[in-house]
Amino acid sequence: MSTTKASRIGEEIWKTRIDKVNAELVTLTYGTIVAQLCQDYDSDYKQVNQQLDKMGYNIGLRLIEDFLAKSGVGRCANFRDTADMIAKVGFKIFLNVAPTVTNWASDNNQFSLIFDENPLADFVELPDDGRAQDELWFSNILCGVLRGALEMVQMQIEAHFVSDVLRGDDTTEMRVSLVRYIEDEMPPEEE
Amino acid sequence: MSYYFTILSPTDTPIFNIAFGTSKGGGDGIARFRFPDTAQYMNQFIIHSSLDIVEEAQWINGGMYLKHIDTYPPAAAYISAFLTPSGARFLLLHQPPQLPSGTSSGLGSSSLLGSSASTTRASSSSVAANPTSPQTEEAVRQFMNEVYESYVKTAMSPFYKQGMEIKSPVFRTKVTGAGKKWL
Amino acid sequence: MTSPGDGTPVKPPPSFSPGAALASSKSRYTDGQEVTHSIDTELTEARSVSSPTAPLSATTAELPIRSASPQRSVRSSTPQLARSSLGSPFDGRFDGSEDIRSLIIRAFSPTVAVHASDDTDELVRNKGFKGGFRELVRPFGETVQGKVIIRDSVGSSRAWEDFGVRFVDLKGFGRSPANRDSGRDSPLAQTEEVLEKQLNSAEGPAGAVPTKDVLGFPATTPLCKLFLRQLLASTSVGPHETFGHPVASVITISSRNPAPLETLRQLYAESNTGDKRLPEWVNQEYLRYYVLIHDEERDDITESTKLYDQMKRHFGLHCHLLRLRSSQCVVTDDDSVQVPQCEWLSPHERLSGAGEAGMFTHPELLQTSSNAQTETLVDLGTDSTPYLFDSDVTAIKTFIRELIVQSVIPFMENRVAVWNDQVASRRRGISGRFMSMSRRWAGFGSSSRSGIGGSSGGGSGNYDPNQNFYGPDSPEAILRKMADFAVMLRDWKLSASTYEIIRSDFGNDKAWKYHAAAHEMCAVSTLLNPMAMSAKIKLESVDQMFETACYSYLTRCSDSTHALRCLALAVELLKSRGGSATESAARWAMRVMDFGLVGSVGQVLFMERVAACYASKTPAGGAKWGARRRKAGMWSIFAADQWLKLGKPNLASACVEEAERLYAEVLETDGVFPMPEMQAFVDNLRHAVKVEYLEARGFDARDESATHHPLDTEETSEKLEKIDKRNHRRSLIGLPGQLDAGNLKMTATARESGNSPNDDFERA
Repeated sequence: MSTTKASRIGEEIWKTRIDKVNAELVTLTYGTIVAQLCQDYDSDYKQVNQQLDKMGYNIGLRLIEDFLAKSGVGRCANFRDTADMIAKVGFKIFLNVAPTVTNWASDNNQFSLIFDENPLADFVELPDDGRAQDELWFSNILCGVLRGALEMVQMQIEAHFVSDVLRGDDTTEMRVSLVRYIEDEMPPEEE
Repeated sequence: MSYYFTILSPTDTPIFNIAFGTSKGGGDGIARFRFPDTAQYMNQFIIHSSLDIVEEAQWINGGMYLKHIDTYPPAAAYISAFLTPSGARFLLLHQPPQLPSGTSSGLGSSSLLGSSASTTRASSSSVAANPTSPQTEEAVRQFMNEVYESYVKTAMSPFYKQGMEIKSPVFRTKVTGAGKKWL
Repeated sequence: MTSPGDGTPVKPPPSFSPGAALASSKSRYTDGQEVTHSIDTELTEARSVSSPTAPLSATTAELPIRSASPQRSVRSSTPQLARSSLGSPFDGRFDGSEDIRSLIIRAFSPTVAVHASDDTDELVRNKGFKGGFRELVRPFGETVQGKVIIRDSVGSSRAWEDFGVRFVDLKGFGRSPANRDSGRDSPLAQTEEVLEKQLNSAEGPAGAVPTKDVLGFPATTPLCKLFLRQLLASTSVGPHETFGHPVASVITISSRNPAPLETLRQLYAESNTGDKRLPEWVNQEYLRYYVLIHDEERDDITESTKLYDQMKRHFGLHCHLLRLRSSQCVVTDDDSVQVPQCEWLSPHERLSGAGEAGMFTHPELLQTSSNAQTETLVDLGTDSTPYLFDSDVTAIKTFIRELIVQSVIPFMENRVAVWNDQVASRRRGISGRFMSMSRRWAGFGSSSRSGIGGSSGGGSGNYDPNQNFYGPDSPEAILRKMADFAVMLRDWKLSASTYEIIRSDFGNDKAWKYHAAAHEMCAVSTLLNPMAMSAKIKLESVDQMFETACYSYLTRCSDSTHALRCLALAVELLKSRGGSATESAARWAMRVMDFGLVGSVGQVLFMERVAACYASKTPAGGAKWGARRRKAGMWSIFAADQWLKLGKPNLASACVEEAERLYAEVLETDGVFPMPEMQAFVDNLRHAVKVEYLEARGFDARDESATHHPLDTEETSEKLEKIDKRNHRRSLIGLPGQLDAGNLKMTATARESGNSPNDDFERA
């Protein structure tokens, strides 16, 4: 499946089958969760990142069902297809954004998602305590979501942010690497 | 014209301060207050004292933008106010530059008849020189609105606590930008 | 500020020591109160006179008095009973705007010229009054005994308690150099000098304590009142206003005169011709009043009565037989009464008085500034304070009352009625307006011209632009005089409407000083009229009149004295109006500063006035808004800063205290300002005031421990600790600092003990 086709599917589903909610509500809800975590963990941002990832993972485990049901897409031929599906359909229908897939590794097992916009991070300014800028990945929940969702379709991946405009970087970039395809294994317990 | 802009929380705590100068008419955007030695605390005193008027004006004037509400004649300082519905007060102190001829305030100065406002009015109706002209009121309104927009966004940041000082450099840049654009 | 040395108990003059004030204030209380109040009172005194020795225990404080002025024991027992004490807690109560209004009203009192024969003056000089008959009657004229009833132009009467007249010497009238408005001798410079003298006197300003009136509003400081009084007394006599022109002339002879009737005729003639004639711009149509002084000790009363009857036949009803003893009264005489001090001394008189009598000036300043009450606070037991026999005082008071009630006021009422009928009504009617218009356009209507001054284009022709005055018979001059009479008779409705008629005429004639004065008095009359004006539009027109007056005075006439008087009146009268007028008042006070009309002390005084104006603005109805507490507090802080720069930490401290009181209502947390730089400034100021205050007082501060009240220390020491942390000059604000602060606090408590038990300071 080509990137353009994936985009078209994403648009179609977004327009016809998705219930919309107010973006500010989502943004504020998510922002409040992050801020609360920062407070609870006493600004230990490594912990916060981890917690966000974990929360995302649990979301991903469930979200994949909804995704498959809504999109009705079949099995992806390869990891490149998967990448397009994630970027142009998945992100489109859940966040109404379509990050760019780029920076493929030579073995086609690693790519980057470049986010031109990030509804989760609207209005956000990181705490100016001198550390958050270097340690906190504000949208880290997205990494967990990908990890959880792909795990349900037999892909073990690793995802992490490498840059974030919130930190003053030029782009917001998430690096996704395929670890392995999971064969005939029982789904793991929820973390 | 030199400006001192302050946002006060509903409990009168200043949450944002910035001093800047006019960028209109070739201004370089640097504040030059008439009494630089004392400007820092004087500006705060003047702004603080204008709260008396703000408190009164907010009941009389229903709008958010209260225009020019107060004057502190000894320093030729004018205060414009903007109220957010949530109770934050935007206060802009503007001080026209000292006119070369108008320095003497002693006997027989030609500025006796008019109020001090009309003294400055004489020179020009441009935003940079006259704090009470309709043009200035309008420019200040635009400035206030733009700052208000930024303020709302800043206040939405999950890491900003209401009533806390706004430290955001983004916000500061935006206010500076609005100042450059309108004032 | 005083050097520490000034404060030592040895330093004269002893009578200024707080003990003196203490003695007098004590006498005002009943015995029971005396005990409870004595310490408070003493502290108040200490504060108000800012004497370093003040907080000494009562016994110590009285020591130097006893040793230096033995008569004190005699005098302090009886005559001082009625005296008002300086800065006692009760003084401030009536120190509000009513008091200022009364002061302003009394500033425009009728002038009575005194023309005494040589034998009269000689008789009076023997009694110890070097200045002759005028000096004898002057202090008594300032307040007429009892109520004075005045009828206004519509026939309704009102009684006044505070009516008075000014006695001036006919001989010196209008002879003072007309334009003293510049240089060191100008009234303004002298006013400033008086203020500085007052401040620098070791016993310090009575003005230190800002008193509060009944409602707890900050009222006028005594220093401020002194300033206003000086200002009102300093304007020289000129053609453009007639307040200084004599309404009557008292022609006096004594029973010693060998040719009484001839002398009276001669005196009368002198006042109409020759060098004792008044300047030509003065209306000569004033009341002549004839007085025969009978010497009770040397002459036969039957002779005098005979002569007096003769006088009445010759001169009509305006005569009086004044029976006086001719010998000098001394303090030890049984029925001696101290002559009250003159309230309305011009700055010039005060300064020259200081030169002659040396330290005598000080008590005089102290007492006049403390209260309208005119009895002296302290005596020096020297010949500089004159005494009179009780019978003489009664006779003089009776004479003055009769003069005013039976002659001067009816005369003035009559003149006003006549002028109103003959001149003013014509101008008020349709034809008058037409006249005025046609005059303006055609130069027509100069029929009533007095002949003085040539006709010039544009104006009425009654104004002489070369000599800058209207002939006294011209309608303009008569209307002005009539309006002035109305002011002096306190018929402000009539005066305002009359000034209203003429003020534009003066502008058309380019008679700028007249123009300014008419606008000034029109505004003043409008504000003094209790009936007039509640509408805002009226307030604007008043502001406009002051504006015009001020512009004419300053820019067209370069008359800064009158301009300052005009603005000071504007400030005080608008302030006393309350409401939104107070903001106008504050603006005028700022204008005074902006124009540079006052010196450094005056500047600070006007800062205090701005603060007072704002402080007197109260919230409308039950609303929480509408007050100007923050503004008032800010100006108090600035005033404190300026006092400190002038080296007056005691005054600065009073201002800081006032500011704290004002800010208390608007700050979330007591004494904590939301704005950091503001906070830093106020903290530094508080600290500096404290340090300088202590330095100025020197080691004497330590002696305060005797009277120190332990309760108050606790609260204040908290504050001090806060300051201690920030500063390294710990040694200076150690123990004495706490004591001092405690003392300040107690002063505040004491001051208010009269009306409210709550100490504002605590809330500050």
